[in-house]
Amino acid sequence: MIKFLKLYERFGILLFIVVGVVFLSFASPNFLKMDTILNVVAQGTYAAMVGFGMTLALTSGGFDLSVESVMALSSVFLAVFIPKVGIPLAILLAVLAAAFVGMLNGLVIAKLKVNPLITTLSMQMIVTGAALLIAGGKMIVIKQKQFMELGTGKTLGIPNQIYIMLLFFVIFYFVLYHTSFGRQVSAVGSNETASRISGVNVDLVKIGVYVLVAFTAGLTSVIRTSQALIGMPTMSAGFVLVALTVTILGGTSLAGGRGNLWGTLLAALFVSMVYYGLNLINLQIFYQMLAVGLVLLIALFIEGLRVRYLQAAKAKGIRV
Amino acid sequence: MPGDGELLRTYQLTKTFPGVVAVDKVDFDVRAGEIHALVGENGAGKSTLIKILGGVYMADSGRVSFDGRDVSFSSTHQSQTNKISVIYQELNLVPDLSVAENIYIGREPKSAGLLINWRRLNAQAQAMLDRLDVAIDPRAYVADLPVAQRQMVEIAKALSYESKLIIMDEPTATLTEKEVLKIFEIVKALRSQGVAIIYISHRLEEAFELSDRITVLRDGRKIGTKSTRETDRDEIIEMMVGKVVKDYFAETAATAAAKEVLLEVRGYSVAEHVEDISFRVHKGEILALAGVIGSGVHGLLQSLYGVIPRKSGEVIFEGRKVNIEKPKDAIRLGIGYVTEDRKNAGILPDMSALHNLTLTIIRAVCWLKGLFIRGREELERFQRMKQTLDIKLAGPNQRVIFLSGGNQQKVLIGRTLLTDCKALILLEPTRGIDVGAKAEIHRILRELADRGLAVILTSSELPELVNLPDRCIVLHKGRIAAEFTRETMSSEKLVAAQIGHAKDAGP
Repeated sequence: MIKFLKLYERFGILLFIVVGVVFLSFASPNFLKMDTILNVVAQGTYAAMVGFGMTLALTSGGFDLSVESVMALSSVFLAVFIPKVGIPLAILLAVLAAAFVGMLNGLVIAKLKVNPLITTLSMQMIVTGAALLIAGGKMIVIKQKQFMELGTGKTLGIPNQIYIMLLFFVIFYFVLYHTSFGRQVSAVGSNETASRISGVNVDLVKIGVYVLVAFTAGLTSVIRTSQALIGMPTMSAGFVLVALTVTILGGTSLAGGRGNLWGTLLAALFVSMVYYGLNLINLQIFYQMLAVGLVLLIALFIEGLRVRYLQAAKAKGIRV
Repeated sequence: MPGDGELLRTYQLTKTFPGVVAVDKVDFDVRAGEIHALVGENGAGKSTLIKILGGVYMADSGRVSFDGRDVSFSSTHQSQTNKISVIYQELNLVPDLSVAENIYIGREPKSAGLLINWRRLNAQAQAMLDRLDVAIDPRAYVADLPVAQRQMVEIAKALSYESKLIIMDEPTATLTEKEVLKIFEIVKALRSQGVAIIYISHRLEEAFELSDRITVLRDGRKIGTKSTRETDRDEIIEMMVGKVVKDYFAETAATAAAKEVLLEVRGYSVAEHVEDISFRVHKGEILALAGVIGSGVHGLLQSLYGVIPRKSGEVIFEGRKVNIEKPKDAIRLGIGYVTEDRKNAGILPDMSALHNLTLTIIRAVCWLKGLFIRGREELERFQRMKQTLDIKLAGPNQRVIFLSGGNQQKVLIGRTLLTDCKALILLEPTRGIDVGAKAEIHRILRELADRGLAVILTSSELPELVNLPDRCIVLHKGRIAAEFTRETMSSEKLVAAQIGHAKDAGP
């Protein structure tokens, strides 16, 4: 039992994926085709990329509700600056703007000691307002068609965005598990006081986390904007909840200290599969939301059972 | 059968925890309307005893008779409704509720059986507070009250249960002298109203001023009960201390007198608790700073490491004046630190033993100035430290919370030793760990000192203060009260100095 629970902690989300795949492949003959699978993965990249950032934030014991607004700001920046300074420079500016918001988040949370939830919620509104102001309240069409290549192009038959997402996964994986920064992120999330006493620069770690979260949100927005060729000041409403869902579903603890990047990646694919798959068998969108909500509840319920079981086992003196 | 005016009696009460007998066949009695002081060193079994009476622990054997009946409580609520109230050091009030709500929590007077009748609630609370003759507004939030007044709220709550026995666990530890006098008044007033009080205190003078009888516990056993009028301080101290077993401690090296000064503290003050302290620490010595809660010892040591700010004074380290504002400054200089609060300020509960241990040097075992962790080097440093300190674990990836207290403590010591510190500050180095691990940690500290480290520690355990250090400085109310060397130290003198009776203690 304990062995199973330990495996579940790491790969529990795979269980949901297997069940989903089996169900969908019976329900729709088209599900197990290369195109479908690529589509599911491609649709999952946004949630995955922003989810990687969110995983980092949660691991540090924090939270970031401002990612949506950061994505909108980047999108507007692209639309405004591409005609003026060209595509590469505009991308740079868009991502820098995103990172700047992240730095503000980090500074307020680390230096002014405002609760991360409140900070990023406020920032969400402030930055949305700023994006709307810059865009004049409307969507801005981007006329430079070559910008579209980035998000819609394919290499070896696989959409570019999948490569970019995988690259991000590798980068985040190394950052979280193989750099001293990542180690300190986990340490701060696990016990901030202890980290400070051990000489960790807690403030700097927190600022770094929020910069990284916003930076990935900005880059994700670049890909999305290039697919739509529109700068949208209110883009992706509700997206922050998707990013949070995949992070938590993937097994990252809300209490901080334990981030599971594999889990986030797999959960993003799972959520994408539910949406795309149920669409494929012609179910209304309502069912898809219902299904994802249910799975999240079930997953957290099992997680609670798991933790309580391990604690009970430990109390009885069983080595876990 | 209960004797004259007897309220409570325990018969052969025993409670064991893995590895220790916390309360050992204690026969103890309290009379109605008396103040009964319960004294003893830390670990003597006082808190376990009152937690049994308060329904927190169940006794393994023995029985308790209260008010003429045998009783056995399995919850705090049960003991309260049976008219025994315990006021713990860490008060059990809800800060976000008002005074009246706290007093009647869960028993609020209702209108129509549903809505809280605020007027009656506040009036009843006011009546309880009036019995204590204290000026506290029942509508005030507990969070806004100073500690002394919170204590009075707890007492009012106990009265509201019509308690016949109120047990107070070190009520004055964190109070100012004026507040202490107010508490004394209240305690005496309760006695005249017929309530019995068990009063636990570290300060013997309080026991003598307040109590009718004094019971001394040591190592879980009752040593004796004396009528306060018929005994004196020396007798009680001797009963508390007993004869300390010396030989389970590590052997001491040569005297530190001739050794080089590593750290000097001059005119050091911290907030309200530490006033104008000066002392020196030599290479290769173990120096203990002793003092009861409120003496300022913890604040002083925390401030030296930069955990809390200092008010004034200077620190000279290796001959240079240094400025330590945060732990990082101390680490850079070569000062290490092991917290007394292992759970909240020490371990990283979600992480492995390996990651816990190497936290302080994680940037040093990296390529490219802190970028990629060199896993093999990290593991090597871990293995070496694991061997040096003999840490027992299933493997480097075992989560630290699954280690025993002693091994967790070794992980924390190892974590700070990895920084190659020259001075090591430890607060309560063996709190909450078993006897075997204690002896091991003492041996480790002695070895470190022999290798030239300056070890500075504080402890609330008497044997650790008497036998481990080369030198011991005693603080009382924020000032240095006495200094002992191994030659001049004795348990009696140390206890006397800690509670403010330094008679013949000279530097």
